[in-house]
Amino acid sequence: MREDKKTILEVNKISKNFPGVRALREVSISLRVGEIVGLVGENGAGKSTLVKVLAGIYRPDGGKILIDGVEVQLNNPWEAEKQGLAFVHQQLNLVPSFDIVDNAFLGKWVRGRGGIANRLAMKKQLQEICQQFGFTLEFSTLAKELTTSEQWMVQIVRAFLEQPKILVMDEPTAALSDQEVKSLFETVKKIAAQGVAIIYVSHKLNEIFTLCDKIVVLRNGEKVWEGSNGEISQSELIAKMVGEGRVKSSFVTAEVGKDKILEVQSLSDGSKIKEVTFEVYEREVFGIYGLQGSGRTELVEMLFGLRSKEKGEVRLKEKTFSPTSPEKAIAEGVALVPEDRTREGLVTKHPVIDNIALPHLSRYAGLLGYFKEGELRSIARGVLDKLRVSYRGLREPVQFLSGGNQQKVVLAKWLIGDFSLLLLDEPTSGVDVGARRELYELMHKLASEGWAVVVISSDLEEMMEINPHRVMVMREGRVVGILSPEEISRENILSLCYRSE
Amino acid sequence: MRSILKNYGTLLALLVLIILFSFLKPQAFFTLRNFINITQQVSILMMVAIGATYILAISEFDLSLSYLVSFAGVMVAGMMVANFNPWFSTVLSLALCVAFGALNGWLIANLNLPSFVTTLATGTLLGGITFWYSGGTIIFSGIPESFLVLGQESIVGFPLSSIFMFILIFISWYVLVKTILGRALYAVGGNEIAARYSGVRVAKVKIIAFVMAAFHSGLAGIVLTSKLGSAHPTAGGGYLMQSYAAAFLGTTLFREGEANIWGTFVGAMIMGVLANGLTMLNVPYFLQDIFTGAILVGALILRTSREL
Repeated sequence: MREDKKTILEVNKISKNFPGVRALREVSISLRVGEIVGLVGENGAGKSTLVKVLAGIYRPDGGKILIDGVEVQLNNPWEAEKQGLAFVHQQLNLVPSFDIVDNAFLGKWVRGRGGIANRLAMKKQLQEICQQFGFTLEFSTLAKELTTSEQWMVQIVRAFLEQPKILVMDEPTAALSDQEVKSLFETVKKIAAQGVAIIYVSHKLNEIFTLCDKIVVLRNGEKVWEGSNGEISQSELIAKMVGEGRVKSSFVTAEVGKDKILEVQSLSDGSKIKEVTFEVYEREVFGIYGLQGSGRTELVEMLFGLRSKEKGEVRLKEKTFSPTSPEKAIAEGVALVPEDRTREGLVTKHPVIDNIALPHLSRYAGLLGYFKEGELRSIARGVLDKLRVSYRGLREPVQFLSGGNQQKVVLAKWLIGDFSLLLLDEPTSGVDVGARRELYELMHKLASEGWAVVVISSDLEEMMEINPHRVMVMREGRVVGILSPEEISRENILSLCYRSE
Repeated sequence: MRSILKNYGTLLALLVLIILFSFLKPQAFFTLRNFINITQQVSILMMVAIGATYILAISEFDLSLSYLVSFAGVMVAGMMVANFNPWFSTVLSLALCVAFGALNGWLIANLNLPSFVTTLATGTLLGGITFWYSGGTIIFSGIPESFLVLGQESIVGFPLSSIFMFILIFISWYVLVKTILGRALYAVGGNEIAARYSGVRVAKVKIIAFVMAAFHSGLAGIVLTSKLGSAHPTAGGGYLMQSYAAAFLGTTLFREGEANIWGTFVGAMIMGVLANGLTMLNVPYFLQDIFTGAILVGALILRTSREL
């Protein structure tokens, strides 16, 4: 019956160029009232650019945007908002020292008498929206004290203050638990039923298939496919996103060695990590699965010298290992691909070579502290080629690379020199489908070369796709089970995760 | 054209100023002699600005630089008046500056205090010590002739202070661009967390930057005392804003949005040429400040629009 609903948003042949990049090429999309359109594509396909054009952050170089059949100019975020567009952005934009109420109403404060912010009214409105979503939030909590998923909730709530006509959601579920995702979907559907048109951007194809009426695929800034949900299978959709020429590769899984690389015994930090015990062998890909708050990231921080231990013992290659700083962990042969690439992994405005050089500066020091860049250059090129990074030159700032290539640069930092343990914390967040597969493949390749690879993920599908030798499941700071190859299955992992005591 | 303006706007501004003054005062301004004079006039400012460049490279602030200039100037003069050897006085004054810089760095890097307020506090403290030591007055009698060579003499027409400045510029260019320390400094400035996650010893690097800043400010103070033949506890006051202005202007050149030595030098030269040219035209002093301020705002606009 959607056919007789009227079109509310029409994006007509929008183009956007950046120096050296055509981010969008004559992309057209239309949305009807109450329709949920899934926007998919690899990183760098143009999804975020399109979202930013709609948000009034970027001005398009060509094309038209029509709302209710009237051409509109979206020159800044306020105009976009006035036209009835609301956004839940990929990045979290909260003021750390403000509480939930102030963040949700930032710039939209409800004024009482004399222009004084009416917190009571704001709280009431928040209460209503939270109830509608099934979110439980303590409104007086400061943003800096919120978990990532709570920060997302605030963003989502904020988007709904203005009763938008069109809602754009850019990867809203990245940090939400399955339960939270479920309730979010229910809400999204409820809102759509009330007549709001929704653009839903996600890397998670199962979400797209669950939620969306229509699917639009972008590739290299162009629309390559558009159709209704049900017309296409997941593998066909992936093929559209990835394009021709790239086939799914099956990983070469190496035989796990006998030597223990990492032994962790009753490790505790006094708060988030409790009595964690496990070991990882040479040539093993070891998965750690846990939801937000399970202690998985904290465990990595302890192994990398970022968090101090209270008790327990860690041995690396049979020697006692208790690093007090990343520098010491690195010196012992531990490498980390951190969770947040742009915050922890890269100096994004600096060139590729400078980023790769960082952990190795003292190795490439000559007379008077001279940095032997020339010597590192050829080695860096070799590593980047091995990882199949596409980059224009070693002096290209990493911020101009796609998410997948950026992540490979982070990985490249550790492929120079003597390392034995590679820790990867959510290595594919913000990485497109094609590059994800490559990263999984690389993990196994590095393992076959003798590394012990520890990969952390809160995405079950991803964990299954990585196909690790063993999976350890964490919950509330404890190890609740380590699954052998025969035991690894979605059901077993989830039952460990949610099993009640 | 637009990109030329964005990438080389500051250099262009310097050229425009030179051409302008050359037309207005051809005999006096556009001569080799005058250009050498300008390098001497900016030499002390440039030394402080080299210090500011290290601080901006790590994305911090140091408001104590001008206090360090005054302190070193008064310290070296006072010691010589008390009959200490000029070399010993110089080395000891510089050592105290270095220790002070290390203290700044330690407070900021190891105790995680915010650099802006911390250096305001330590700088004020140092200013008090300087006043106390000098008795609040100018020190001028009893400074040996040999000490005045650096600030006042020339070799084959080149002022020693200019030569000294160029040597310092070259050394810091080498440190910042060619050494592993330089990479570490810029990495800490670009993304401190990523630097730490990559094994860079962030605290050490920050302390080094504050030490370098204090050392160069101390040198500037010593050259200043040598040039004037006297020392005053507030002599360094004007150098703080000017040195940051020079270093900020410099961030628009050569190294995409980051502080760098040659950029800082161009920035210092803009201020030197402005002061020199406007003085020749008998323009009142406050107009120089107005011009400098306006140029700085323009440069910042260019820099910001480039980041889009």
